[in-house]
Amino acid sequence: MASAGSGDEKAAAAAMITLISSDNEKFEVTEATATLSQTIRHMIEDGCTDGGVPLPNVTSKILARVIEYCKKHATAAAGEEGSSSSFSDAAFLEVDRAFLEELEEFDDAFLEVDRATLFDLILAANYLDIKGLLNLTCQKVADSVKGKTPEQIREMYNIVNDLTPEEEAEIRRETQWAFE
Amino acid sequence: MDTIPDDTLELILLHLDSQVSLLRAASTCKRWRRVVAGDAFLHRFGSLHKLPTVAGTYNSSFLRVRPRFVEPSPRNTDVDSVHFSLDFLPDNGITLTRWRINDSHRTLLLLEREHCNKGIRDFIVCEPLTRRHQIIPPPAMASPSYIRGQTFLLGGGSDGMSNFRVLCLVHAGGSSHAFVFCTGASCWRAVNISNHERRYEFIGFASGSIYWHGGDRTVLATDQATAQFSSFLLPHVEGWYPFDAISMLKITVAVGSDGQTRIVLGAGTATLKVLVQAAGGEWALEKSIQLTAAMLDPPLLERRWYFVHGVRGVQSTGTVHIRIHTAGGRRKFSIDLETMEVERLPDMDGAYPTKLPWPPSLHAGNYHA
Repeated sequence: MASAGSGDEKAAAAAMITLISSDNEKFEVTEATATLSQTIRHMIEDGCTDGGVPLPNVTSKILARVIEYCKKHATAAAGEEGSSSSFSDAAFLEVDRAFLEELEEFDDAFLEVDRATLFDLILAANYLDIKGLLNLTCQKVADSVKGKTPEQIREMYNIVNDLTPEEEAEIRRETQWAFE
Repeated sequence: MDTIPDDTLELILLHLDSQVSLLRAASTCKRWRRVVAGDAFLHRFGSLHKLPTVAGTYNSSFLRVRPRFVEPSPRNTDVDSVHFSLDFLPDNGITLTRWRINDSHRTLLLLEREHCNKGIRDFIVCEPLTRRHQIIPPPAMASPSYIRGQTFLLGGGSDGMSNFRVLCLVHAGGSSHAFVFCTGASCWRAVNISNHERRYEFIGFASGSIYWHGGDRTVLATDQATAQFSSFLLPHVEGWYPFDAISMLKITVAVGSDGQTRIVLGAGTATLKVLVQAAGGEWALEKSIQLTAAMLDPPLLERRWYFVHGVRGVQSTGTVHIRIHTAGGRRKFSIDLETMEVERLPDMDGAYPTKLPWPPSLHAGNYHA
């Protein structure tokens, strides 16, 4: 029974899923990579992935980036499962740490994109429900905002200031300490 | 940014590092302000960042200069410390004014002003960040028998100067009298105290109440939310003599991990007696903690010369503050009643914490729910 079980798992790990972008490009990914997306995981569980998974909200350009992220992090997740099993000696932890550092470097490099792409990634991560990617990209935007004045934030993200001068004056009066 | 739906914008703003960043973001446009002002968002942001943040403390020296704001190092906030200065408080043209802080609550401070020569005193409630203040004359009967340091800010909402209450305990003619002053009122309102024919001394804050010791075995408690008083009697505790002047300096309160208030007494031979209220309502001994030389280094000069006391401006936790007199002078410690862990504290007078307003004021523009 045990050997049959592990055989099934191997088969599952090797199973391929086809993702179809809004511009009809097809991407073949492993199930382990695809299931980082909760949305796709649910589709697989419901057995509705035959013939490919159409993702009408994600362009091929963005989907390629998302898959790149998922591949890297799926490997990381598999590595973590392995390490938590029985080994906990120093050498193993050392490997773990090196891997986490590498993952961090990957994330940093991954975020080196223009603002439009960053927002597309946020929307895709939100739609595909990929928690790690959503947190990563939201944190990137939040970091770019911190320490900035409202005027600088508007400039950076092309936000139209629709507050009336009276409202702005009132805000300043109420919370002046936060602006200087 | 326009393509980002509100719930995703919310997620981005949740990742901001501080309250100051959040307030600035909330001032970029109407949409961002509306998202930030949502009750659910503010609740999440607050618990995620453990708000309100303690920005720093004010020391309570009774000097002719206004109390000074002291920032922790490293700083907790990115608010410039000039915004915490008390230079905006009026001294009524009297240069001989001495200032003392009586209490702090969230963003508010309660100060006492006294004319050095004439002995005229009054109170000021102020909010340094918004530079607003209100002067409060003392209760009419208080002047001749005013007890110093018996005035408190009662816990209230988060609305700063527009919603505060001050409690003042006065001793006169052999009995104690309590008065409450509310925002917007023009005078103090008398409040009944049970067992008022005695003098009460503050012994600490715990679980939303202020505790006083009545000089024998009587303890008085004030619910900070309702300003209602109640009193109870402590049991006889070996080594703690209620009428002994030194025993009176060896009583305070703490809060157990169960959230219940403990009364902590310092009994004769350097022993802490921890009392808790039993199911029937009566107070009983829960445990004794012997203070050893290993705990208090340097050791006590004499086994009597230690004091346990409440801390002004700060709610009690599971620790008790101990002051000892040694050959080397005064030393302060805190001891954790559960782990017995001892920590040496800086020897300074009470420091009153001040916090940033939370939830923040987002009334401008009327986006507040």
